[in-house]
Amino acid sequence: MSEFKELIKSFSKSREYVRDFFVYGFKTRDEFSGWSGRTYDNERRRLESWLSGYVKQDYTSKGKNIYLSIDSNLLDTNPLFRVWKAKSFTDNDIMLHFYILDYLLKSPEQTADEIADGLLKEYGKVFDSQIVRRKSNQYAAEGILIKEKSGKEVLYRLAPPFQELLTAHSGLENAIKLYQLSSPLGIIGNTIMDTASFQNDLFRIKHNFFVHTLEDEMLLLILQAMHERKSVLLNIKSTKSENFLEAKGVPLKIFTSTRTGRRYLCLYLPDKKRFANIRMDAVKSIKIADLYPDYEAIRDKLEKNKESAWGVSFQNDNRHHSEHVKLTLRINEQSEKYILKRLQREGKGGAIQQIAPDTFTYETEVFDANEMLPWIRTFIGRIVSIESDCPQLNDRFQRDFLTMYHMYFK
Amino acid sequence: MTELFSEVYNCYFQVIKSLIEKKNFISEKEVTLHIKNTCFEESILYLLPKLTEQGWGFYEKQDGLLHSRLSENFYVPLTDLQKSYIKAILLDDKIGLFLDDKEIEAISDAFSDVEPLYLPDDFYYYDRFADKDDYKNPDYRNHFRTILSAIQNHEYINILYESRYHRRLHHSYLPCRIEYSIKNDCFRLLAVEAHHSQQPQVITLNLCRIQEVIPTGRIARQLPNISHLIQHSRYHEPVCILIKNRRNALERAMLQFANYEKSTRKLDEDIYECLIYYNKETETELLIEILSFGPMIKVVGNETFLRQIKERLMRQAAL
Repeated sequence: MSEFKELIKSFSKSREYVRDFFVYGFKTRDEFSGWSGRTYDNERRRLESWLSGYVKQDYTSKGKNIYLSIDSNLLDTNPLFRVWKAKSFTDNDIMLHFYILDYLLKSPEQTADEIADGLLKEYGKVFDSQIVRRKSNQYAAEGILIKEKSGKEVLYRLAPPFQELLTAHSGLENAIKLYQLSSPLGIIGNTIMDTASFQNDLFRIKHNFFVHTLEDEMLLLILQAMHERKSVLLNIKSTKSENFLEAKGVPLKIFTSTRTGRRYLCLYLPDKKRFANIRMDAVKSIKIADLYPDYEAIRDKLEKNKESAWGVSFQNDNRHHSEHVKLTLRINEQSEKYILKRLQREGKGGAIQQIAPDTFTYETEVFDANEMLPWIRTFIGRIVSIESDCPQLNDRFQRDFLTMYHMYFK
Repeated sequence: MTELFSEVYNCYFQVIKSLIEKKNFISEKEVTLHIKNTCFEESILYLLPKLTEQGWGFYEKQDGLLHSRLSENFYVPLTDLQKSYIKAILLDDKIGLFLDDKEIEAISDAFSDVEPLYLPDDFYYYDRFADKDDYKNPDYRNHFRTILSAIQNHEYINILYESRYHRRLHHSYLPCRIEYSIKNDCFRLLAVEAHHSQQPQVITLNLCRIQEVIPTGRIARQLPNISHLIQHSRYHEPVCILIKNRRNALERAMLQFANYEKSTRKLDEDIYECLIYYNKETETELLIEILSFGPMIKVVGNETFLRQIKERLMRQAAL
């Protein structure tokens, strides 16, 4: 039996496990399909080690299940960031990291051979100069070292300390404390806090979905393709089944829901001449492909189109270009002004009109009216009528409402 | 593009760096404690021998203490990935709360060798509320900065506040944290009242309704533990819901409620029970989130929450 290791080489397998534990949190050992019992045990132990303090366990008739219970509003940072800090390394990696950086701090502008000699002299550590050169080049590519040619020699020196910039602009430190929680790719902000040795003592976050960080490796590649105006080849796993499929398209934007926790990649599909949104958590691998010549034009088209999408759908089942929706709502105009405010701030620019005492209409035009149903249900208790050229909308609302009514009162 | 999943960001690397920064001489006990507090649960087993015995050689033993062989002013420069992240956040509209235009330009110039990791337009929050805070308003910026400084100094502040019903309220508070809501795109102050009883209550104030903030010069010995206070404010009984796993409802619900402290168990083939913990502050929001699932979710407890759901259904049936 191989020895248990806390650190990992590749992120992909653990990403699935953390996601399952974090999002579901009710699966027992037997219910994790696709993994052997030993894999489950190792992954569970790793997760308990990485996220100790956040892991809880329950005992059910079907066995023990462990889960992550995290109230994002109570935390100074996203605990799932810790998963990104578990990359395995060799003894040489860690020694070269500290010794090269320390040596170049004392003796700036050195060749790889000089660094190798310096490591022996200063710290008594023997490293082949090829290994030192490889690590120095890696760190120059990362931006940690600056590599410059001087005649025939290649010299390395440390990049300037970030602390100088933080001291000159103290607001930057506080900004990073906020953005590591609130921005896309906040994990990178969090690593800056590690590098500069400070912690968030100021901010809390609401309506953030911590689980999104597990997609950040994919997100980086997508952003790279977007900025280079290139197409991508995606390997996608269905969120409803175990099936995998391939897709090729032009990545244009990341669509994020602040309510449902879903995040999508908006692609243009040149073959089908339409936009499509794909769940980010379904994307398992990405290959950046060729340049897409009409990138700007298609992105402009998306900018215009997205205003008419209620959510992430750009078409409907009724072959309409768009669908009209009119809600008539009972709202006490004296005591329930907050409902009118809700319509204004959540209604994406729909028209609100008072048609009678305590009766208001809300009207809008969207690509797919069915996408509005969950939002419409939040007004249960005041919906007088739903009119739409999407006939399924009212039918589904009425059918679902009757089912709900029977659930509670029959 | 440099790697995100890289050993450079590894927890062990960070803990060693912070140990070196801490002091030149350190006891084994301090090293142990620091690793336990900052690293993974099992890291100590691997890391401690590498630091204290014949391992990586960063320390040598002197008079029973560990002496660092690395410089006191040791530092790790930022990677290009980190620099390009900073350039991305400099483009966000909230950055003006922290830095003025000249500072933004100076920081951007310092990282002129990298491009921003992303642009604000790369992301679209399609269901975000429309009435966001005005981050460009000079008063708003001043209030924000005064509050930040008061939190860091543990200083009481006097706040003139306009309530939802347009009443002007004047109170003294100890500010504890600023909360940012991604959905509302707004900030709220989490504070406790200056003259509170033994168990202080967390007060939430919208920053956009604050009219005036005046520092008092009075300093509190320490800030209360706001997480404990929020947890304490939760109802004893969680809401108990049954999720019917049709139309992918289980996956949708688990993701949507991932922000709440909750526990879930399977009752039978397609029914799951989920307990969600909440307080008065989040009650209405949770209620309408549950309603949005329609018949896929049934509330079975607690009584107060169940009664509110039933009231809305009865009102709807009467229309």
